[in-house]
Amino acid sequence: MGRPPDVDGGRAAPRGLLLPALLLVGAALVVLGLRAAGWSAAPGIAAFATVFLSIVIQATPFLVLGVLLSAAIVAFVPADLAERALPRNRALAVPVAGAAGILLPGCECASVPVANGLMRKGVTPAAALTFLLAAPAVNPIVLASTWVAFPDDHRMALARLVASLGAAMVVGWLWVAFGRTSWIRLPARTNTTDGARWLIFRHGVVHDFLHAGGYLVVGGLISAVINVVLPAHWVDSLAEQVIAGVLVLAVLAVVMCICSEADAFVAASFTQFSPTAQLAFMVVGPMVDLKLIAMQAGFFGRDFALRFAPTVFICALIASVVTGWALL
Amino acid sequence: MTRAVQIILLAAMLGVLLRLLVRGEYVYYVKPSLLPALIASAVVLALMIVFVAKDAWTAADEEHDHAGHDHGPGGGHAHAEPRAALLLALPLIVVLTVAPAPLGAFSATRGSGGTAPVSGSFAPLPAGDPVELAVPDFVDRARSDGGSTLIGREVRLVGFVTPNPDGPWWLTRFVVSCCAADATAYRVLTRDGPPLTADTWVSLTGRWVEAAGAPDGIPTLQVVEHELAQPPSNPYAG
Repeated sequence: MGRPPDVDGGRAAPRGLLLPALLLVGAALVVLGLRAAGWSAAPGIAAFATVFLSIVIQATPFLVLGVLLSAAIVAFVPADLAERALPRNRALAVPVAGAAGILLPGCECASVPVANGLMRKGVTPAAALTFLLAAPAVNPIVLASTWVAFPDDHRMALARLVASLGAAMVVGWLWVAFGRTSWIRLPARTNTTDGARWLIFRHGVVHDFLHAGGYLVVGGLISAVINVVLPAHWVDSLAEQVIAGVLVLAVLAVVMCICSEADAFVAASFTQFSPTAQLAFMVVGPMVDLKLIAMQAGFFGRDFALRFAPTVFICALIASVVTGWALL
Repeated sequence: MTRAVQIILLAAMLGVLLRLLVRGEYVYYVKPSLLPALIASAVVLALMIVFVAKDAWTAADEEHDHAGHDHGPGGGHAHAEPRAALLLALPLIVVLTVAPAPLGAFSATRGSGGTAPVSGSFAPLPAGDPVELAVPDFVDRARSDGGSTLIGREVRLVGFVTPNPDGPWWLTRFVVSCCAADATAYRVLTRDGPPLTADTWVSLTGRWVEAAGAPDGIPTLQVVEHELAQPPSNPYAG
């Protein structure tokens, strides 16, 4: 993470076969070594493997959708469309971008490459980041699943919409007011020429998938290790306290890396916790979790992720508490 | 990152998907309804591999001709993937070293103690004992309305064994709403069940122990009959 981009990319052909050969031999040795050591028999390894693979497998279709969309934006959307579609005033562009998040039906894995694609099209970072935060939390599929998961209290879906949109917009405005371009590793702006569009699309899909997929694996790995090492029932003792409960579920959302289309059902199962704490779980999760932090660090740089994740976490927490107090 | 490495990493992901799809093991990880999306992802990955291989082929020809570098439109190697992309080989390594399996007894006692609230009331069970019930359905019925729909009835439940350090084992089934990372365990405490080892699938016929209620959402089943069972094609309920 955070290393400079691979620099031996464009070397001449003979070296080009060394790394793949090493990779294959190395992977084969790891497989044989692990099999010989019988690691799969160790307690918890099977559970770790299942949770790890489930996070990766579940995210893959959404990641594929995200990189296809992102590459399509970069390759086929006219360069000045973003400038025409968004208000010139950056502070006004933020709520428009947040509302546009309703249009991307998917979970958070898709939103990072798409936000990256938007920035390559010249969308201001504040608007692209607002979209990144809002899209996985306020799209119709997620709101519908929240509606279903809380059958007795439909205010929860409304509260989720309000709190998520609010937090996303506040972060966008914070970026407009205080953000510096030096914090973010901005993708090179791409201006497409007609003949190259298809090629740019293809390269974009492959590149974004490898890029985001690698960081998805990092996040899934950490989450699965925590899942096995640190059982979730330690949180139950803290459920009684309102403030601690909100914090605990917010932290749990970061750690568990649950898809935003499913997190409402998990939130609903935390019956020992207050509704505000459940809301915090659903507002924080799609905006900050381990796999998202890893992917954001990969796309926009470690310096960015170190500032962005805590800011978003705090904004999401405050938005949840205020909304919970007003609506629930 | 050279094209050969790109192909290896894409193929590793495709390999994982194909293995899980062909053997039907994907249901250990995600809901069966994700099947079309997984197939579509596999197709896109295969197309990516084909196009990268085609580019590599063309580039090799060009290098032969010009003894130079790839400056094709779109930049050729211009995109540099981070080394983290190499981790895409990890899922395949895990699949090849740990036999794919659904969540089991190890995870059943480690989740949060919460279970989703039961809403509304349940329709009476269909006539004829024993009635086939899903473990989560049984648990929810026992927790709802004083368990009135279970009183006086004999039920048959299929689940796996989770050892209980403080008493008889639990018959267990996970409910998954999206992927196995969000699984919630539903447990039924067995009474007078046979001694069985962890993760054994078993079909139990018995009656809800009304007096025991459902403390912490765990009702008790008085076992009348038992039979070893095949693991169901979808290990998760719900």
